Amino acid sequence: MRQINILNINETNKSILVNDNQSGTISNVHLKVTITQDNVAGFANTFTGDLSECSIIPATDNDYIIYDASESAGFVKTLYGHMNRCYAIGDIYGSESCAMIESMIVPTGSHYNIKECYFKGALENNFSSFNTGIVYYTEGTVLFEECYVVIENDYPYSVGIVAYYSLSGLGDTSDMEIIAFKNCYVYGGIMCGFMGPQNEIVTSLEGLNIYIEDCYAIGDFGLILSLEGDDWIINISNCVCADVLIGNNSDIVIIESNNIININIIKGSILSAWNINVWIAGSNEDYPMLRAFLNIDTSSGDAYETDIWSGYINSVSSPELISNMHAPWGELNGGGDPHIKMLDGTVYTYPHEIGYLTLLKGISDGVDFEISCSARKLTLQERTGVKNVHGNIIKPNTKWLKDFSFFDNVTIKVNNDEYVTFNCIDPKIIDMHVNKLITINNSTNDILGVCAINLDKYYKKSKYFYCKIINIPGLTIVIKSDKTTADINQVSISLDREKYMYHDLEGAMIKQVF
Amino acid sequence: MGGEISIYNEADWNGIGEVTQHITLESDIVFTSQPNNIDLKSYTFDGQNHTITLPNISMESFIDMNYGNIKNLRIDASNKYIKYQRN
Repeated sequence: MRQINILNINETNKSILVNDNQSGTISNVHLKVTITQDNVAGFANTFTGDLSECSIIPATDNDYIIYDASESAGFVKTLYGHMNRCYAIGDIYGSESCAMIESMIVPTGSHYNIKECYFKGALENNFSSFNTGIVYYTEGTVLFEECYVVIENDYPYSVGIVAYYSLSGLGDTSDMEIIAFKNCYVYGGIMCGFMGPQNEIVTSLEGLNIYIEDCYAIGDFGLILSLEGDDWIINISNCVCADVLIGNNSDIVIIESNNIININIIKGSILSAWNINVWIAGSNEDYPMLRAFLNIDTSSGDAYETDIWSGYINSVSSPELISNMHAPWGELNGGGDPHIKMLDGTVYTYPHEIGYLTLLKGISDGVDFEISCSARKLTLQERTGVKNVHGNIIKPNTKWLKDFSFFDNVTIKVNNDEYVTFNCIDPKIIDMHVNKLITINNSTNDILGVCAINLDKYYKKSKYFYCKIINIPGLTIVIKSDKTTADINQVSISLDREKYMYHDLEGAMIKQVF
Repeated sequence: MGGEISIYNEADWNGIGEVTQHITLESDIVFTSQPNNIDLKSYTFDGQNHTITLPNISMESFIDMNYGNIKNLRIDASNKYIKYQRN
């Protein structure tokens, strides 16, 4: 039996702290409450000014910050201003409610920033309407940067960052307006990672540009749930999506439009639907890549002739992908098999007539991989020249440290000496894109092995895999060694919560190099 | 404290009246009734990381501000009655 603490807020000004229609700044203010009324906000109803370093947590630990309430917001109902370094931790059960801001209204010609904000909690509802983590509705140019969302449930209609969006002035097309996401991360959420459908009352959003750069989304619907209407300009670069559902109109970008004027997917974006459709399920699907393409361009009538996707792909790390994208559509299926898919999502593929592929990174560099070919046996040649991996499908038995929380500090010790401590909100220590190497020495400074700490923020094997999902933004750790467990048993990884302590490299923490 | 209004308790808060200088909270306050509304205007209310605990009553918001600043404050609105229970 769950007990719900109820704060009864007078309807006059519909907030706990600041009266309606006020202005200024609110900084380093922390609210402990469970909002249980409709149309109520924690700090202010309508507020002009900036929020910074504020937070909201539930009245009771591990409970709701908004419970059984519609159109309520943890911080502000309607904000005219920026929001920086704010967070909300707790569950939401409601309708059209949001952990932070319900509406962000930006005057035409201006823009607001939401930077370094994060939400962690469940988004529950029984109303078939969205609940969101950061903002429910934006109007005008809003730039999201370094925002993190961890959605801890699988309810439908949960959206990580923005549910609805519109141009300022509801249709004023005089200025080019932008909704942009940069370095944002969304984990979970059954509907979509970043954006839901645009405002239902807007029939045309001509002039609105969507930029999604260096973003990661793990969830059934990837980056964008649905774009309806005409005249979208979507720029996706350096983005990674994982665990996007396949087979039910759930590709990375679901677009239902009569007139897609421009879609740019550039700079090596790794899109889960592509990987799943083409590289993993390829030989058993009828042109899955083509199907994804058709989702985009189905109404144009010239899907086989238009080259929208391939024309804008510019992948540095996997040039073979470009090659295949430019191949005739009828050859795509064959072109994607065999392949090598790296742990970081990069896919290396090569023609059938070439019997081997030398990896650009050696295994000792901390690169994990899986390799498959439906047609023939494969030989993996590591760059040191060792050939000892054979088979149609090779998946190294890597396991994962899991269940971090956003605030967990991770400490890695070598020979009982602290080597590094980091957490997910310390960018100075965590380099998401670089594998850190630890050399394991004994007392006489002999090198016993090399540990690669792969800080890989988007990868997970499967929703039903034992490692579940890495439920913090940006952290997976793999330790692997080219020595036996006994040689390096003085390495430990620990979290600051004792129950997740790992004191040896057996089992989940070790991966033997071939 | 020169140039500032120092608040130590509920009575101090309710006696603020017209704000003509910055306000600092010098200790935690547990309100037993609805706090008086204050108009902060363009001044700063510095909670100095103290906590104000709101009463277990029907609440109204209680701060006006016109380009003012609220900072370093903790608000505990959790001490409320249990309305119902849910599985």
